[in-house]
Amino acid sequence: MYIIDLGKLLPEFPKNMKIKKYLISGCQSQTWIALTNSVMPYNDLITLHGYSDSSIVKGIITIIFSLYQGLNLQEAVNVDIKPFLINQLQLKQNLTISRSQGIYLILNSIHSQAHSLYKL
Amino acid sequence: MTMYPIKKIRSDFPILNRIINQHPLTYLDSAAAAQKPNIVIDAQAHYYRNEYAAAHRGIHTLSAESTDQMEIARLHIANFINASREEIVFVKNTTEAINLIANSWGHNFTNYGDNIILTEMEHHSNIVPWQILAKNRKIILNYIPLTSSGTLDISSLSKLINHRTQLLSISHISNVLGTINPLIEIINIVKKKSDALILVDGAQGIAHQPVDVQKLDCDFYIFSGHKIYGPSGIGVMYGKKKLLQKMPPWIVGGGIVQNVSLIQDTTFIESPWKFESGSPNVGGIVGLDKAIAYVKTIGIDKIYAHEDQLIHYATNILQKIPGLILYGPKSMRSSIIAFNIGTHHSYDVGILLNQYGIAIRTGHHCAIPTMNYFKVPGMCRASFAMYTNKEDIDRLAHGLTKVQCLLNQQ
Repeated sequence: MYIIDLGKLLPEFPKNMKIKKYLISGCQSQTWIALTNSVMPYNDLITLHGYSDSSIVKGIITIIFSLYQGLNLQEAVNVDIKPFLINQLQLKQNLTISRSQGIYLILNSIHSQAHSLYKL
Repeated sequence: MTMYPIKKIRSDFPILNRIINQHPLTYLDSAAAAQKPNIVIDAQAHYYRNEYAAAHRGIHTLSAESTDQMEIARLHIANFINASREEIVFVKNTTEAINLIANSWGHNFTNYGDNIILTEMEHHSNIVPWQILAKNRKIILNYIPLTSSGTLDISSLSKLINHRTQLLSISHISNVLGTINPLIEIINIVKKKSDALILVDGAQGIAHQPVDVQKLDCDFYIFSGHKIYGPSGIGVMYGKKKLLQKMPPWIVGGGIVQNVSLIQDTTFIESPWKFESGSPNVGGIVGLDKAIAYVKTIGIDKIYAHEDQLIHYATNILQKIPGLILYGPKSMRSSIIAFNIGTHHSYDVGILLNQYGIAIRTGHHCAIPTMNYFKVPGMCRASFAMYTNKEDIDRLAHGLTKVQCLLNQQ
């Protein structure tokens, strides 16, 4: 199962971020997603941190994060990776509707965190 | 004793021929939704093709036929659980039945300071309606605790009962652990110490054990049709006649009124019909009637014996898988096996088993308090029915071994 191997690529999730604020509620598994951005001038690249107690969800998080790689805050707010995830990776065929909803919850969390940082 | 006709039974359930992910379907999720035999599917199709009309409303032949079908089914269901016809109320499902009782009986016959006893193994449908009632009526909820073996701690029951205890609401069989609760013993303890009513949630019981409401001496016994091989969206609430007569209707509207006046109180028809406002699900009732007839043809005792053999067979095979944790009692257990593979998330196990065509349930099973007791976020659950065979269990064990290899490579 390639997706499980992908999950192993996720860097360690910072312990101090395992808080309610970053917990995705509504997932079958316990999943945390946190977005931070660099505060260097002219460089507002985002960094994503993620963890799930499900190996398969960890693999999905790795795929999602790879699509945000190298984006700055503004790009992260505006990008829509849903069509690519669903159509190109054919996740729909491999995941049931409730699992797809889990993906949407992860994407919504990334988007809303990026949005609130962008507004600051 | 005649042989259990497993081949014939399996041939009566057409869905068992499905191929899922290039594998023959191994259906081990009957506790969530039992599959339907041809006789149920055909009866519904026949009804919609030839007899469909509004029941209890019309003057014409088709309406009379629909009414007859509905009332004959009511009689058959009453016989099946040793009740009388006017004690059988048609509802949507178990959840609706509990909500009906909580709203109709609960809101009218409980007072500030009363208490209700539930158990720590109930699913959410038998917790949340009572929590709402408790909040509104200022009553207290007490819970019979679980033990580590997955049974209820009956020794602590006496301490929970007093003269203000109005109801015990308890599952016949746990939907997570498969524990068969010693209902007669529990009901005796409650009746000795109080005048409390007894509600038995038979969602997991009705398809697996003979039910005799007279022997149980319960006040309510409720179940969903779809768990006893019937259609979705039809369920049954048995209630003692005197009690139903006393209770006001909950969902009100057409078909249950004797007289509606704009200046005086509306008067209602007799129970059980007063609880069945609106157009009834006659198609569902017809299907449920045939499902129960089918169960009677096979014999509920034989089904119980068959499933009991499977539980022992499955337990023996599964406990040989290293790192597999089994939950629930060793005996007095019916048709359900809950487990986890080490610390792997049940979701991962379930999604990987599905690749081999094996359908199980994963997650918290709408029983978060039970998960909290065992300190796990979720469990895998394999559940059996009259059509489950040893090959299904062999395939589950084989699938679990492969899944474990995949997950352990991390």
